[in-house]
Amino acid sequence: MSLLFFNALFKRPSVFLSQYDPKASFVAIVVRELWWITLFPPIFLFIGSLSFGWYIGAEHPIHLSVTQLFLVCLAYYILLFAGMIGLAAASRWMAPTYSCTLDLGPHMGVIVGSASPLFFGSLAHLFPHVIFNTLVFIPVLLWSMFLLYRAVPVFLQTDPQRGMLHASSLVGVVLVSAVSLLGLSVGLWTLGLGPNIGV
Amino acid sequence: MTEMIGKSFYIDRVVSFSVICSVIWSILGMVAGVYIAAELVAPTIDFGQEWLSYGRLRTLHTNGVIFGFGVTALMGTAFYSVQRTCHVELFCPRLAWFCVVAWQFTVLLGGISLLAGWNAGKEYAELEWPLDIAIAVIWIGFGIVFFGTIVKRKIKPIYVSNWFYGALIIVIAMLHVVNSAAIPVTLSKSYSLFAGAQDAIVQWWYGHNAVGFLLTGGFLGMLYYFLPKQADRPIWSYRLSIVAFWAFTYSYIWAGPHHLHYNAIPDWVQTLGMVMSLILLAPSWATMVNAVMTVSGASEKLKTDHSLKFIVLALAFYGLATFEGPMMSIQSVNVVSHFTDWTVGHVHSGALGWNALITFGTFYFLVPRLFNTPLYSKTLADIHFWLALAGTMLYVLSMWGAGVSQGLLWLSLDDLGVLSYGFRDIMASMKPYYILRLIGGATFLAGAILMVINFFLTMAGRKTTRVQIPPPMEQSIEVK
Repeated sequence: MSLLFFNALFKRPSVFLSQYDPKASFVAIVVRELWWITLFPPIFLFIGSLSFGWYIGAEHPIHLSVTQLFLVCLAYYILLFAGMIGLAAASRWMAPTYSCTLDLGPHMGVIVGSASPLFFGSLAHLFPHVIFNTLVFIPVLLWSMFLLYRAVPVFLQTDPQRGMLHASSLVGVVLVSAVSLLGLSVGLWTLGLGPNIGV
Repeated sequence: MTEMIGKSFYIDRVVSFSVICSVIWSILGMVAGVYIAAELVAPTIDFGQEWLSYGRLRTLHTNGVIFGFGVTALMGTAFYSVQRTCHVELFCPRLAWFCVVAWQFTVLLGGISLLAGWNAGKEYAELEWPLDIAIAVIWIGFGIVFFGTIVKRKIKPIYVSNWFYGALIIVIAMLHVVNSAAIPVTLSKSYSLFAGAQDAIVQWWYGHNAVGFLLTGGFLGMLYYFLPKQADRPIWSYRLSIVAFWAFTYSYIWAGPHHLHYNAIPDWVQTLGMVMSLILLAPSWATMVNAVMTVSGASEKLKTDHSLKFIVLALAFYGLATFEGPMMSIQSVNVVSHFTDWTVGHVHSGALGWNALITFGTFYFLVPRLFNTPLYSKTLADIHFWLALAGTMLYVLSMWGAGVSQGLLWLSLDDLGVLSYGFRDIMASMKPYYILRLIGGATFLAGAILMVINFFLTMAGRKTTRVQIPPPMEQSIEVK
């Protein structure tokens, strides 16, 4: 069984693209891969925060209680899992515009494959220092974007030009989602709903 | 009649001159930006010189890129598109030349005055009163040329790009005159007619709408003309573009007070600013959807037209910036984001991702046509595209990280309710982000330098080609 996660990480992009199984269904990808690769970031964050504390830029780390940390990591997992499915749904929603396949499976495949470097990069959460994580995630994000632009036309069975437009639209969705999460987190913090970090 | 029109030519040399000046300003403005980014990493590189200090170079950077690069590009593209959408030559071409040339001198003198320490103390309106008067005179000239051309048009409907350019000219004139109203004391010093909270409200009524009608509305004018030309197909929904224009114009003008959350202005004014900012998302995204749907039907053009890629990417960042802005205007978000680098990141996702990329895409379209020759190197243009994307992403992500960290640390209290962290400690911890920002800015600048080299090699030894004005077609107008 050839998994998108390992192919994306450890094979050349051309091999990763050629080994994709277009018949893999949405359910198959979720059951085979999505549920466990989305576990990496919250587990690493839990271990890292428990061991070193949470550095958000100041000299001293913030230590959360085990219960608070567990709730944060649980919310992180749910958000990642739902977010990945949401992105696949958004991709499927845009499919008719860019003449892509209407089957949901390849859309889930392209999201999981492209995001694999990010899940692997979440190893950086083992030392949850915000600057260290930013330094790790910027190149990893660029790698993910490269895979996205390469994978969309192949996985979604459209021509490279429409694939470029579809991938750019997905980048737009991801950017807006990211900044929404940033705003939502900050809003919830200031309203008192969130871990106690003195804000 | 047809014979007479057949002998007329578009006035394009002034457009070529604007494009050349604009790209020169883009490099000068961005060099100043990269230098001040470097100063935030290594503050001693001002070498004790006042004119090299952050405070002076920062205003040189913003004025250089907004008024030098941005406004010159808007003047040039407005003059290019208004002629073609009206099927007539420019009204009063000498006045058009005067506007563009005088604008360059004004920006140049403005830059020198800022380096010399003349500063009115108002963000994006730092120039002192003599230059403010010059700006007003030039702007009136810009309006006379633009609206004069519209008046003598041969096509009855006024195309949507002209609505946006027209709003840019009218609203910026109004904002500039009111906000710059001042009592001169000496040649280099004046005091605002407004005082206290009123001064702040007027300033951010100006500041936010300069962003709105210049950096958004003006560039939407550019988008609405050049995107359909590049995509070689009409706007997806013309009706939506008109609805978006009026909704945009109505709602933007109220949103300024969101810059003054938690300040000494009435609560209801702050709330009004927030609510109108949230409403603004609708017309902003209506335009984005319209543009995305227009370009989605033109994918074949991507094979041959490299400039279209810049516009596609600009739309993604336009979507981001116009969503992020209203979100940051929500008071419970603003309490963290205000006075942090998140705001700087937001501004640059718009300025680099939207304004600069849409302008680069337009220039890549314009230069070969103005000089009737293919672009010197498509490979250089491709490299520029990826450098621009990488630079913008690095910039925005590093500022998101820095901004959220700063916002949370500013607000952190210890058990006694005392601030947990000092300002100096927080700023000291920002260095890695500022290094990343410097790399991002330098990467973006490197791409822009490649573009300038590409353009000058394309233009070398050539003159602006003369294009005859075609007769207007007999047509029935069907608005979709």
